[in-house]
Amino acid sequence: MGVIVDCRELSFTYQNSEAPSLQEINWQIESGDFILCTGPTGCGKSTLLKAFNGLIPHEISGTLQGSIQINGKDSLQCSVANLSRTVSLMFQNPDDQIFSTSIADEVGFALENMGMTPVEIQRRVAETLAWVGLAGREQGSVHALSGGERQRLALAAVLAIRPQVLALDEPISQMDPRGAMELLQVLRKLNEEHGITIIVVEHRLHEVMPICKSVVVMEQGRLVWQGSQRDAFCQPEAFLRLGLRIPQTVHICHRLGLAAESAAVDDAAATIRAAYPACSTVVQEPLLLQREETELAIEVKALEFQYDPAGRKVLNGIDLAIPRGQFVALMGNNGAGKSTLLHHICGLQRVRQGQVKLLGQAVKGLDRRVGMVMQNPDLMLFKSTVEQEITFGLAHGLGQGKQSGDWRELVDRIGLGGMEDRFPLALSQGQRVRVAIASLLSCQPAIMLLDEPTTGQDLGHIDDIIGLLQEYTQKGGTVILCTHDTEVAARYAERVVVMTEGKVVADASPRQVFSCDEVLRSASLRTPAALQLSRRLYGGCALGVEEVVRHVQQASMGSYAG
Amino acid sequence: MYNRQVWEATPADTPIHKMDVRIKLALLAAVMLFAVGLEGARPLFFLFVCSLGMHFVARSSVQRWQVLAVFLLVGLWGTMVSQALFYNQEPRTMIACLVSPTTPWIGEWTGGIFIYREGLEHGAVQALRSGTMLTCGLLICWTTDPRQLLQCFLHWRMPFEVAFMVITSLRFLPVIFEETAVVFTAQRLRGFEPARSLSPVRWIRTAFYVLFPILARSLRRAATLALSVESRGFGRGNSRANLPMLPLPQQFACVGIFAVILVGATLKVIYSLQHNGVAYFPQLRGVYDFMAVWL
Repeated sequence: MGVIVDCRELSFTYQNSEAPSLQEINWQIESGDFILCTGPTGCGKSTLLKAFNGLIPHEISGTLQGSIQINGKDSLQCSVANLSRTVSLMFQNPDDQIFSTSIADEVGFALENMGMTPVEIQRRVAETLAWVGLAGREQGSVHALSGGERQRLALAAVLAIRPQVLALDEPISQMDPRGAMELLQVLRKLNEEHGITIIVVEHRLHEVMPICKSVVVMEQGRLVWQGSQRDAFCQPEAFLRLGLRIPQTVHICHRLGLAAESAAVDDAAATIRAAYPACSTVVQEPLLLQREETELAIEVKALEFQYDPAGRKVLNGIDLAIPRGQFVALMGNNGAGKSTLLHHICGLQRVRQGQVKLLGQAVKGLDRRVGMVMQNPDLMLFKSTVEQEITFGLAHGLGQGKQSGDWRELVDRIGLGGMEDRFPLALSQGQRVRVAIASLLSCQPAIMLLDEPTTGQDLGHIDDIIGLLQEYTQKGGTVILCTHDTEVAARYAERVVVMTEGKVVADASPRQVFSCDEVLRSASLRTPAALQLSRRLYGGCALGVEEVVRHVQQASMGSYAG
Repeated sequence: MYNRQVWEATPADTPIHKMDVRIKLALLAAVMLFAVGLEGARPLFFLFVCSLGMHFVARSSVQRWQVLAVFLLVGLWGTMVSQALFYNQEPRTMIACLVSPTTPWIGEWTGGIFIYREGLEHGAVQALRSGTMLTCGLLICWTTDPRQLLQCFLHWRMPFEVAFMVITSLRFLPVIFEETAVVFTAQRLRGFEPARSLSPVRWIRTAFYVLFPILARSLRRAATLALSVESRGFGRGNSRANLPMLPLPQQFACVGIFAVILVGATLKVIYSLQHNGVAYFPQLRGVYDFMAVWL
């Protein structure tokens, strides 16, 4: 085991930028390590990865100071093509990097660039596809792959080079839990069986942290914390301070003043039981909040839909009644029909069979009472400033009754204060999503539909967004939030609807839905760790960290009030 | 139209899909040269039908035939109408009068608007030319992996920056079509209904509104793809694997294509020399007749 990447006093400032993106980075990476690199948005994580394989400074202009040695070679003296044989870089979105239409061609591209013969390429492609769980699919089309499989193909495309270091820039940020888990398992196997050094930059550290060996935290271009996985579990304050989301089990231990040894539920339960022996008092939490009967905002009856008359039913007899003022999380695996259902509700898709009513009226076309935030915010933004973007709806007759100055408070509360004159499309991913949400919230539609709005957001901003949405529901607005994130749904939603293969397979309170492992498994969802831990500790069904902590503390004091 | 998969190349088990990309490009070059060089409506129509026939062989989907039909009909109609109205060669035969020269204002100003038979014929020939090229171009896009095209361009010593640029545009065109539809939808959801207005100012504004997000997304995506391929060793200073030698039957096909191009070009030159009174060879009278009637 030697040092494979050696950064000494590394600083980098992009051309046309005043502030450095990397500042005096000193980092020695041991061969065979599995590193999670995290930090708030814009802290320089992606920039650092680009420096590892020579894209910085060879292809991306700027001022580089200090040195970076890759496997003993000075990166300044080597070409990107040369460095890429040692350090391979994979990006966030597979659709942006997949170049070919067939799987074999995609994986073979890097090998052709290396000058390998067709026979060698064929052998290496087959071997690499087997590594990522796509064996025997060489001749398949890339369009036939699921989101998770496409990400693994993108991984195979860089892995074919047989790099010593694999650097991945937010590889799971847009994936559903099953796809993310599959990819992370592949990475672990590559690290353990093939000795490849892995560096993962990721916001979803609660999923990556349990499988990595070391963790690095960056802030404003600097390495501010570095340690082993175990150190990270013992010192979660380094992450919480920056609004990063740590595994719930670790968070609960930390809140109870305990040091977690791992993120595993069993270990956390053992640690807590040892310190709080009285925590096992069995409790019965209320399963469903009883609501007063109110007017229905959305009523869907026997809705069926198929894109192709000969194809499968994308929606297969959906029945759903959502009262005004409810906050609903719509969950399910990719292809379950969630987006198609949202399109029917907002009138983008014509109702062919069944019925959809909004506030008592049948949907006949695009309905202005519904606001929808799409999964890709870029395609929703088209004005030159944030201010124009947010006030666009008001200027076009939406949000009647709203005061022209109301949006300013919204801008501040959603973390966009001071950015009113910025070009929306030049903002970061998280900021762009927030502009899109603000542009709809400013009009206060009767119903809001949000498709994966928490992607790329750190915990603080998720709280800001959800806080605004909760306030909106308290005023009578209705929210349907499409998400794969069970922790967010458990923490904030009043009701969870789970879809699989075009059908609603569960529709109840978060507590009821997340207690049912069978439903979660069928929808490729993960039970929130807090719930698993509460179940293990006291037979409970807690939805968040606070709930478990409160129970354990109160039970131990002998004052649990239920 | 907005479905991305209509535009993207898809692998399939047909002779056109299996054909080496070099042969395809050579065929495209031959068809283009003939489309430009031929002047008769009959041979051009024959060439056009042959190019459509290749779509049958490639088993193009119904959606692709629909796209092709829309482009061809719009192209055919547009070219024929414009030529029929604005044909200014002599002789020309008027077959209809749309605006009489005596009509106040517009008639006096334009001298009358007529439809000319020769214009229609000339338009049809031009439409067949562009239609043939379009049909073959789309066939190549729909049946050829962009990476194979890139490989071929680099094999033919095209600068890698230019080759990558060409391929990137081909690669992203389908995505852009798809995203345009999403942008329209997003704008409608936010209360913007450009289609309900006939104001040119509003239409221009709409164009910008659509262009902004598409352009921003395309730039981001192109930058990521460029970094990704460079990270996979593509670019200057590496020893790329060359394309393998063509199999013997395909080598013969290639030679055949070039021979046909050569014969066609020679015949065209010989006929042009005779037609313009530069050189006449009595023993080639049969060739001249064949050229005059068929080519």
